[in-house]
Amino acid sequence: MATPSALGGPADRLASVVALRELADRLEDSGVEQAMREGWSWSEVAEALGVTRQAVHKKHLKRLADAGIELRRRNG
Amino acid sequence: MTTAMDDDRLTHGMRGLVASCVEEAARRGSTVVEAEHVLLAISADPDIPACRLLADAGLDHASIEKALREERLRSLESAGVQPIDAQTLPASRSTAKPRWGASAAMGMKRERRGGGSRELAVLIGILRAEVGTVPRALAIAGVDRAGLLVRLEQASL
Repeated sequence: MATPSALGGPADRLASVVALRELADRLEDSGVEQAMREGWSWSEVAEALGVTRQAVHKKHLKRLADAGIELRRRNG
Repeated sequence: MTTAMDDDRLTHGMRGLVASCVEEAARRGSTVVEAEHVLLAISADPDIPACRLLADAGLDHASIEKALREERLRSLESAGVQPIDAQTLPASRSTAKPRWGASAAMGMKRERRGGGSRELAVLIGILRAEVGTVPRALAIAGVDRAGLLVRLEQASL
């Protein structure tokens, strides 16, 4: 098989996955931070994202705590 | 895919580059160090020959950043997605040390085998990839990657 091209065809399709994942990560970081600043609970954020509370906690707790954001503990 | 990078196994001269790669990744809001961050880190250090060879090919830090931006725009566009201004997505920076992604780890692995300048060996390893973010960005910028590789390999002899 010829060397695959870096542009066009499947390369563009696969690169769009990389770019969309990056964009989704940025949207998640920003959205979770905004919600927590507005007093959402971890459970509410998790439910909105369709993931477990543990997953969202593991991914964002340290970053938000280090940023000095007051995190709601009541009701998870 | 990510992999752990044991900094203790790196040669002394590579520690500076490794720290710069991690900083480039963190500055761009990435929790993973990828090949593009290694390329940016090398292009930002005028004291190393690899940086000067990139500059000779028209690739300085600013032009690489521009090419990477254009690559992401094109990739989003191919999925029918408009980019979002980063200013509208404020988020505190992660305080965790970024992990190493597969594309960067591949270039770094080559460093342990190569002779000559270590940074040059890493750069060659990074630029050998035929597909992915770095070759796409270089192709969009109109850089002759194959020709650049030949010149880098000659310089590493």
